[in-house]
Amino acid sequence: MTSISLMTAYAINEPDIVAEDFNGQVVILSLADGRYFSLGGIASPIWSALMDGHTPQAILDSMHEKQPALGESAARFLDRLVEFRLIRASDGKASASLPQLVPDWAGDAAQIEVFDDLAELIFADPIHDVDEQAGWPAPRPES
Amino acid sequence: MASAPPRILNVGHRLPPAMVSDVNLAAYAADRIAAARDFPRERLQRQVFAMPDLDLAVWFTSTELAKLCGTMLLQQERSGPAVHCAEVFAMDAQAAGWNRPASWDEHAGFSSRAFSRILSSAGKRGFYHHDAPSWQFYDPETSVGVQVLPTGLGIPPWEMSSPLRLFLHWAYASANLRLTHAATLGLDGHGALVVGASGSGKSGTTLAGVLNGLISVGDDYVAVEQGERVIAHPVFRMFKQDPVGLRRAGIAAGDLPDSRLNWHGKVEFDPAAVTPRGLADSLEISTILLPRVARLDRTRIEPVDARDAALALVPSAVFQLPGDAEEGFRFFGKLAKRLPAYRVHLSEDPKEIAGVIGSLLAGEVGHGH
Repeated sequence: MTSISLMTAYAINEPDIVAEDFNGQVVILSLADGRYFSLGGIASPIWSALMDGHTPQAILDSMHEKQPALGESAARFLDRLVEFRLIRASDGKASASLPQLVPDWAGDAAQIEVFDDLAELIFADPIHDVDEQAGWPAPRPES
Repeated sequence: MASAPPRILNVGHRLPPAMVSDVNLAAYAADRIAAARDFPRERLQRQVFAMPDLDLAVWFTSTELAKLCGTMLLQQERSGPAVHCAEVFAMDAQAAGWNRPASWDEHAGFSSRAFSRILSSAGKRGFYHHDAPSWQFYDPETSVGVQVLPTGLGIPPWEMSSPLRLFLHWAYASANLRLTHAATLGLDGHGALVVGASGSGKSGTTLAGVLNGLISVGDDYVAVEQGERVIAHPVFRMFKQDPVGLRRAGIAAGDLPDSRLNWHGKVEFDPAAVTPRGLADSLEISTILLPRVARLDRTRIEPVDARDAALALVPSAVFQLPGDAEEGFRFFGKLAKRLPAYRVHLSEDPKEIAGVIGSLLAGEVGHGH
């Protein structure tokens, strides 16, 4: 399993990855493989802090005092961002320390929901994998 | 002495390759666009399609394809030129002087993403259909495209009711509109985008609506303009529905004039045949509906947040049409943020479905109905 580097600043993995914040709920789309991701619970604030240049260590430290129970899910979520190649090490300098991520957070732990129903469309090889009878772009069922 | 028949030269600047791979893809795209532009115009049939905010001038080698486009594209009535224009050459190898489409080099492997990246780096958009084979290339800088076909009607089978679909998508991507994979329903000039994955009930919901007092501008693809207001425009004439859905709506497929089964086993038909007043010239979009086939006794509507609307709208809208994916993501993301959205758990009664959606559009239904 890939782990995040705690002292490194990260950025979104452009140009393959795009993200949008919907009233505090982040949706991420991989243009490379067709998967898309919905961040739940405290994952969206963590994502925003990461995009602001705060290191994973700073984010986890900022949660330690007020939300110690969320730390485990936060660490797991940060690792998955690397695993899914949604972020990459940033060229920029890490931002100053983060006092507290969300001081009054009463929501859920960090979650990342993965949708891969359209991924097959991206991976489908039009030469070999597409079933003309079922129609494009429906991939051929595995035999 | 009888003179020899005129020799018809290959119009390309050089003989195009028989095989294309990542290595020569960009050059092939540029060559086919250039060759089409140099093709003697007197051997082509020109038609200008008055689409929403777009004059699409198409030069055809095939009268059959010109006729198909004339039937399937829903044109606007307007007196002056549109704000945007694009030019497409639909060229088939049965026309003298135009070469057969190259084939993709199978030994070189194929990646849709690499294909798109190579063309994008060269300032082009494109699509390859391996079965025909056929190609579609577009240059957004010059707004010129070419469709390279083996025969006059050798377009991908799923485009028989939506010909020039990708050129419309690419041309609109350069304007403030998007060709959008969504159905529509409305009342008194305003209405909803009906979005969701294949099988979610978009077409059935739309048919239920237009048969029972609502209006629509399309049940599969529409052009969406997003400025101060969100306006949906019709693009293609035909609706589609599976035979079971038609029966549920009280329509016998055999009674529909000019209907046919499409590549996906669905019946394509002109909605004007069943609901002459159900088609609108445009709709101001104020709502997003996410249908769900639930087979309830009564249709139930519940509000969903912008994230849920985006998850239903964005992926299918972005990935159903190749090219300009990030711009599409931003466009549809913005749309999901600005419009209220509702999940519609459908009953099996078309009239009841239309009544509930009509009440919602008329503002008679509150959250949690």
